[in-house]
Amino acid sequence: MKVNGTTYHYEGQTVQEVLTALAFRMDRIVVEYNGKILSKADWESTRVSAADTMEVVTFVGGG
Amino acid sequence: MTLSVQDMETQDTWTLGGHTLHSRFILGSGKFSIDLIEAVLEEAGAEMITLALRRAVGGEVENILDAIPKDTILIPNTSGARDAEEAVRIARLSRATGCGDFVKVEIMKDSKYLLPHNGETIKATEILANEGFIVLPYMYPDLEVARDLVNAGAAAVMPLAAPIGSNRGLQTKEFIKILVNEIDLPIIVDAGIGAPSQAAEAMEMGVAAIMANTAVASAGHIRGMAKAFGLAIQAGRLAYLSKLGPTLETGGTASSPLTGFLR
Repeated sequence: MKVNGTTYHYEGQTVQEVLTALAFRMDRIVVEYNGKILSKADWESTRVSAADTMEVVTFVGGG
Repeated sequence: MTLSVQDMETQDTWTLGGHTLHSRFILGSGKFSIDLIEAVLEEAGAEMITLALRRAVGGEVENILDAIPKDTILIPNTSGARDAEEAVRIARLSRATGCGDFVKVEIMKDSKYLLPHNGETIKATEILANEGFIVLPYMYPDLEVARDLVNAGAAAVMPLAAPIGSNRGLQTKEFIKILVNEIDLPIIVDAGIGAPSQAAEAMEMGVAAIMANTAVASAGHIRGMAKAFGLAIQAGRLAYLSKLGPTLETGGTASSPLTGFLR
């Protein structure tokens, strides 16, 4: 699957597990899963497959 | 009865998206250290700060939200968006962080001058306003575009003074004046303001607020410049409220009595 444009070999894990494995700051991120915003409540119940695409975003400084 | 200066200042509030604000300085948070944010906000006297949304980096411990005081109003921007669709996507993701309903729409196709695309900006403003966002569109100062933004549901209009990050000042002064005279929304000058004197000049014209980032972030002393901007914006606002005296087209007029000269 792809996370922020990089390919990872995850299949069957939950989104929560993938995010934990990649060490994201859980309290500061928003997840877009296959083009749709995936609410935090659904991270545990959503299982990833090889063709999936995930964007994990956060705020940075900007004008 | 004439108001005291203190009353003029304390009674001078403005509203944006239902928020009552005292400060007329919106600070951009780009291009300087996270560690300085709280001090810079304090020196600037700013109540609002802009942010950008980017891909998160795994393992990164520090986050900008850790450094921003809780009572600060967060205004995510849509930087990176090249059309309305991308801006809407970024805005929705930003709101999903729980930061509130504000969004500064900025859409650029041009990477040399970083000028906003007014047409796509109107489109995005309409979509986002209909979804309940408080939309602050960054735009090239054109009266007809500003009118379209009003109709699209914008909460303010943010005309540029000069290209982003250029520090070149009020290049579009005459056109911003037209917006101040004709548009019934707060006019917030955004982009290109490089010095406190330029911010003061814009405030004297009657704009509602100034947004600045690069001018502060690229200064020799960041906190000092934040304070200088804060003071200049206050000074310009007070000058506007106090109404500037008339300008003479030619010649001069004595400010000392014209009688009783020693001869």
